[in-house]
Amino acid sequence: MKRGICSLSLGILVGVATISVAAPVFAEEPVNVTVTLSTKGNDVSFDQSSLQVPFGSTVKLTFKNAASKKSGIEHNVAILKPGSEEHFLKLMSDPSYEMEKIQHSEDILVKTQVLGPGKSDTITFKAPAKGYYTYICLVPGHGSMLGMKGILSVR
Amino acid sequence: MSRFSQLISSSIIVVLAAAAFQAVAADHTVIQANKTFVDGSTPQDKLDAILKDEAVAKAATLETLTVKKGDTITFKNGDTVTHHVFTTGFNEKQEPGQSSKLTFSDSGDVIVRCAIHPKMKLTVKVTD
Repeated sequence: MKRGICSLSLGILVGVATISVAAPVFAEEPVNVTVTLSTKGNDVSFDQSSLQVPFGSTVKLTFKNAASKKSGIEHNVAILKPGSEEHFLKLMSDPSYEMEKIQHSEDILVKTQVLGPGKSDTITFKAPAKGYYTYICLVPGHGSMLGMKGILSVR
Repeated sequence: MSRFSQLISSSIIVVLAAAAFQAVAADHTVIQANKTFVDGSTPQDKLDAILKDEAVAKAATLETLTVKKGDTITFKNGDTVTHHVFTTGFNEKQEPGQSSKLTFSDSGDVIVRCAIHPKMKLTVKVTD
């Protein structure tokens, strides 16, 4: 029995040692992350409501508008600066919005092109500071009243 | 005429005026077809052509509609895809065949859009 406990303890120690050795290697090496995001077919929503990327990584994000050609629905994805969501949603909820103004807002960190049905776009960017960021479709009704958004966490 | 009779007469005039005002309020119809707003009086054969051809739809697009204060517009989804009519303080999803009613109580310009298709934009000019 005593021998069994010793073996178990040793096993746990080896496991902990393995984890503690692996972690610094992961943190120090430059990391490239590939992220894919899509729409849920013709639904005005993303197929994932949250994404995670490591701090310091280079992120290659591919976004696909999976809506059918018949639907005629355009989409994109943009990552917003922290704390800007409320202001941005207000801007998009006003029916007199100007698409150009929204597309070029200073609240946007990075964005893909606005894509027609079936199209995709890939952007590459350095993961921002650790924290939570809203990603949103910049087609005004989509990001605001139809809730087409999610959370990107950088850890 | 006694004071009481005068009061009754005045009241009747006010009621009749209010009734007349009610009668003036009109209903309008706007149809959503091939991702555009078109006039509600568009005949069916023209609507069929609009649904088949984007160029025909573009040419038939209704960009401005003038109504009177108190009038109602029925937005009818005559399309084969989902629409979502919205303006300040109102938004409603519409599957094909469904309608949404909007009454315009204040004068001024009101922009009505589709939340799904941002190019669909109608300016309703509400007059006194």
